[in-house]
Amino acid sequence: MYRPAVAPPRIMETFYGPKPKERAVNLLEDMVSVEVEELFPDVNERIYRDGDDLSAVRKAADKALAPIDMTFVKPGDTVKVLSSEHGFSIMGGEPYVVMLEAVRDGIRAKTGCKDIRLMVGAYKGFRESDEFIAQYDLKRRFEGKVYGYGPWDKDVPIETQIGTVYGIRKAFDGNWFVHCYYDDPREIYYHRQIQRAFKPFGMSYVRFETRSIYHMNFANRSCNFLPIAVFNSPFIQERYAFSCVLRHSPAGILTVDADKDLSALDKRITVSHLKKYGKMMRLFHAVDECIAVLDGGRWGFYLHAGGTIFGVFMHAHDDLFDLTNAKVLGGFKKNEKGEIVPMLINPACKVIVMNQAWPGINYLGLDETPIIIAGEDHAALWKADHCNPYISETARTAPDLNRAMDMARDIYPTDKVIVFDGSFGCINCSSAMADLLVKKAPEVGRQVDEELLPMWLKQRGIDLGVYDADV
Amino acid sequence: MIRLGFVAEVDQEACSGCGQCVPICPAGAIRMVEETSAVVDEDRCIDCQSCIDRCKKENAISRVTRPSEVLRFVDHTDLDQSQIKTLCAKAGILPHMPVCGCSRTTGQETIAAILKGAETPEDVCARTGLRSGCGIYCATRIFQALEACGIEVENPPDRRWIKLTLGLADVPEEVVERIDQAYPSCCVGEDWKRLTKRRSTSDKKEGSHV
Repeated sequence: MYRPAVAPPRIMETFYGPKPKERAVNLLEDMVSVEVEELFPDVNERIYRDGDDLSAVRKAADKALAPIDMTFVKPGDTVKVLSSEHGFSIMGGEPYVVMLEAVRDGIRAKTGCKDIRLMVGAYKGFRESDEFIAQYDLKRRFEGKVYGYGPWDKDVPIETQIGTVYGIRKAFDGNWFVHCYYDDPREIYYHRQIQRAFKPFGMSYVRFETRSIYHMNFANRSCNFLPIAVFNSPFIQERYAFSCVLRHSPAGILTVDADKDLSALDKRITVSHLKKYGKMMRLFHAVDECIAVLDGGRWGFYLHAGGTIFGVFMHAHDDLFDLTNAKVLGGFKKNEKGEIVPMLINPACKVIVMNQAWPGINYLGLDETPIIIAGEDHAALWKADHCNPYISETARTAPDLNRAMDMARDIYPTDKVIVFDGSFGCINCSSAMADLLVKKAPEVGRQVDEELLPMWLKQRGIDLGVYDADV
Repeated sequence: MIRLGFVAEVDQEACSGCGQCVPICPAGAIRMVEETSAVVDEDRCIDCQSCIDRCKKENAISRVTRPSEVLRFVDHTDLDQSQIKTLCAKAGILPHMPVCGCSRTTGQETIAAILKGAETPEDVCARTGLRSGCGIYCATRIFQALEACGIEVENPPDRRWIKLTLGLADVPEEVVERIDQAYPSCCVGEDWKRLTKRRSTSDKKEGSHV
């Protein structure tokens, strides 16, 4: 017997997605919850998973910030606290905000600096930042010193080792900036857990042209050098204060980590992720067939189950951490009919049912996976979405989630259902899927610990003894 | 190719004339009339909805149904295919492969749009539908295609876009070697060799690009 499904994080009202509606776990029959710790007993550490008590996050942030040298910040300086979009959507977003507050308070207490500005990053929408600012009452909490920024804002050229790229001027026009990040690995299929902590220097903090070359003009592994090149540039180093990162595992929030040395911080993250997310990734790989339900308040690829995003599930047929694999994302190929289709999608995902998910970002690789959209209003958003013309042309619409599941089972009859609803610490799924996960997990854990982890670490030149700290 | 069932429409009463929608339009479909209100050119609008998102007066621009569906597509088949292939190679793109994950506009269609008269990034977008989706990732491909066709574009004064085509293949070998030594896990050297080898030939295997 499994526990009933766990309530996922709440969904924010938004201009960009469907109106929030009843969650899948409350609508579907036979929904249970499998704890990450039940699957992998060693993936059990966390300071936060859900609920209103965020004192442990604040305490961890204060502790991490205490040894950080901030003496170079003068009382009359301007400090930009740079945040990135996804942090506001993990576990309801409040843990990230609490960390950001701790950074502001820490700088103020140590330096006397008063002009500390929270910069709220956006993926691309002009209203994304405003929505976060309203949702988390950031104007009040940051005493009016809060500003949105995004890829269309005025540029600033940044000379790097490999050439000139363009950052976002208002992110870097203070005396100092603090890199305030989250380490949820998200798109492992893109960054391959190579220098993950640097990624915003190729995304959040730079203009859309730089984001374009980062994605299009470098290869799947080598693209990860571009953010490092930006970070290492004199322009950035002259302004860089330190980094503060909300650390995650599939079980929840691990801690808060801070360091001036971003490379050292990145190595700590890498070891933790290879050990913990490696197991979730390979467990997804062990799923032989299922219907995946997307049910959250962000873009569907970025919705979590067991702290791991749907995008990773859709690429789990590959070993995303194995760096001998030159590419796991980004290519197209001709199929048997001569049609151009994206390469590499997880064939175990037989049907995708969208109860609620945002369009507006390309869901590359779903051409051969049937999609059912629940709700006419929801479907209308997708039908008008130029990021996914293929989905808009081929997805079928159901009046509600249960009818959508009936249609999905007509396409592929299986009782294995997994729900990506933003959950950390557990996977909400059907009991048949729970049976499969519980059955497969021990061998997956053994294989990662004994075979894959040593290889992944070696490929990254990481000595486990040096970087395997308490997290 | 994109299918357009909608077009942006400005409510002249509600428009404040702020002009913020003009530079955000990737297709150059919006212009100001006497600095008081915005006007949308239906023949250029690619329904990316950026103007609607940008508009501070939330209802001043909206999406309305077109009388009939419009296709934005440039036929490349009536052009010299060897020329297209050569220009694609020069641009570092593959003829049959999408240069955009959203619209899936191919390399050959992008080049064909330029050979048939597109002279600016906005022209390329208006004709092909590029940047109608996320609007971000295909940007460099447009600059690369224009450059390959011999069209030099100047960055607009308002910096609505900046021509940026930097890629791994542009990085000098000695720099690649230094990067490879300092950051071996990025596999820069291995990828650089593959990309530079590919750039030197126009005969590429489908699906071989990274």
